[in-house]
Amino acid sequence: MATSDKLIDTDRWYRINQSIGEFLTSKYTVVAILSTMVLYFTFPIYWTFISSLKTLDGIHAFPPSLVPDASELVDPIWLNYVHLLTQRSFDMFTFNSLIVALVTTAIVVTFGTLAGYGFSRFRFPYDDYVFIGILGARLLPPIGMLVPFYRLFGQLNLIDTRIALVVVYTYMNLPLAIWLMRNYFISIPADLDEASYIDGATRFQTFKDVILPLAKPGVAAVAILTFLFSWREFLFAFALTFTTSAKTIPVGAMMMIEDVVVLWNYLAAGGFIAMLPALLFVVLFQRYIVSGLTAGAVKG
Amino acid sequence: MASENLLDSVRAGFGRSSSREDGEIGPIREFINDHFMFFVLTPPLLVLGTLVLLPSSYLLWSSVHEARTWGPDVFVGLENYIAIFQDPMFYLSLRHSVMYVIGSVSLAFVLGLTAALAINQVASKRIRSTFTVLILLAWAVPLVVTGLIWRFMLHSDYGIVNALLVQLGIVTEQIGFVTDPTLAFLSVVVVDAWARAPFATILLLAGLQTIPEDLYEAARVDGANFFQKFRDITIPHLKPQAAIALVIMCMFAFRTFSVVFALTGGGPANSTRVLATYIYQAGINQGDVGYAAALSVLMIAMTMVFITFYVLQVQEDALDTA
Repeated sequence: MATSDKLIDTDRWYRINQSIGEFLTSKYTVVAILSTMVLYFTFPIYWTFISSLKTLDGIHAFPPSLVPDASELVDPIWLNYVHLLTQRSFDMFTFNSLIVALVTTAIVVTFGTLAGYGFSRFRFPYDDYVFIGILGARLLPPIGMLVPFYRLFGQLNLIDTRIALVVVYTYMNLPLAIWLMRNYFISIPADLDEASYIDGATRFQTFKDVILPLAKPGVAAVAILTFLFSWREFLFAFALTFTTSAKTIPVGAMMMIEDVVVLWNYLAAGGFIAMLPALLFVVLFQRYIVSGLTAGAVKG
Repeated sequence: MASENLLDSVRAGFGRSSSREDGEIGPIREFINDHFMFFVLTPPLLVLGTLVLLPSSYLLWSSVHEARTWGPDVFVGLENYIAIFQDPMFYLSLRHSVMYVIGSVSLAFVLGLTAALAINQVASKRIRSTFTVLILLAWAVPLVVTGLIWRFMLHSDYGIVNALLVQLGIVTEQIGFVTDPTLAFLSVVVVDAWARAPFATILLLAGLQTIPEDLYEAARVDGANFFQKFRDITIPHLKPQAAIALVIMCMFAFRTFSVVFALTGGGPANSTRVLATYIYQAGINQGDVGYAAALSVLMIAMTMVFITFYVLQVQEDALDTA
């Protein structure tokens, strides 16, 4: 008697579990969860954009309108952006951000590809230890290196220059680049190198004409991630620059919070300029970013 | 077979280009060819070695000196370290950092896991990637902008969050999310998790997608229910990936500067001061370089625990592929 009671009980419990499971995995639940998630993760971006088009009165209205009407928006609609570019040096900040990110990307991609190829094809004494060292270097917290970099640049008279930022960003991104490129090159069979030597190509030709073209997706992932990481960096840009000759967009956005009266519509516009290229990159190059982030994390 | 074809086509392409050279290369190119490993590895390793070792040694040097931003350094031995261990602000920042890591990482992990599980349920590849992009957009926002925009959204007078709460009748008076010491810390943690969760989603989704579909199919045939499948298939298979995701997120949360700096600046009344903002204040604002350097050394030493754990986790995988 007792046994059959227990059996029924288990059965009932099983059925309850089953129906909770069905409910959780049903189409509607999944869609509801995902919609909530997307709303939560994208709303602040929408809010930045919409606030960047508002007048100050529109910003201060209570409650603020989710979809503002024309009276709350500046006229013409891009007025706040014009103000930032012409009155708040955002033209210079944008220029600095672009130059720094592009130069860093060029350096990191070049060195990362060379070293990655070297590590994938050659062995030398203690190479594993050197490689683990690179892996470790990538994980050092940048804030820990701020003080020595700050002093070194001070002594080299490089404070408030774009060069200083390029140097720091190279330091931050090169280890990941070497790591990603090495793993990518390893996925390309070394037989191809052999075949090309047999056909009389030099090692450099083999690298440049045979292997590199096959590694394009890896190079793209490294380039995109390096650009994004340099573009968004704030700590060093904030500490190492003082004037418009080297300040970048994230620093320009931060500066506006230090105003006596914070003008949130300008601040939102500055924030949106800072995030716009990154948003475009994610939409256009999602595949590379996802593969780079995953490979970078899981394989190091 | 496909790789054979590839080999052939590469050979064919090469035959043409090398015949142009007539198989002869000059002495310089021959030298490069003979020492190719040296030529590809030396420049990057020299650059990286300099960029890592020079500041690292300077950091250690500064940490045992009484040093200001400019001017001569005076050797003081371990005095900076001793001062740190007697500094209540250090313990406060450290405690905040630890609480921050625990709070933000667990919240981001739960959010990321939920999103990843939900995305993984979607059959259409196109829709899956659309949802991934939409969530990844939050990752793309520069962290300092994340801090600034949430500061605006959580503003007690003009913030949308307070407006919603008041409109819905949940609160009668606007809340000072970033001006009240207790709430400020919670706000920082929640905002940090917002920025961190998309990364968790990506990593966990990649982990989920490596689990073979047959396992679920077999379990279904055997009559396993949702929770049994989750417990016996999903969790064990996701564990390695989840562990790595957690270690990385802890490391990144531990070093967070921008979100805190932009959202609260470490205030009010030091309630959100973490190690990173303390180092910044000591080293850059107050110019007490020696003290900040010693703080940095301690922070790096603490991170080393994570780094070691992480390297041990991935090294087998990493070096195996060679």
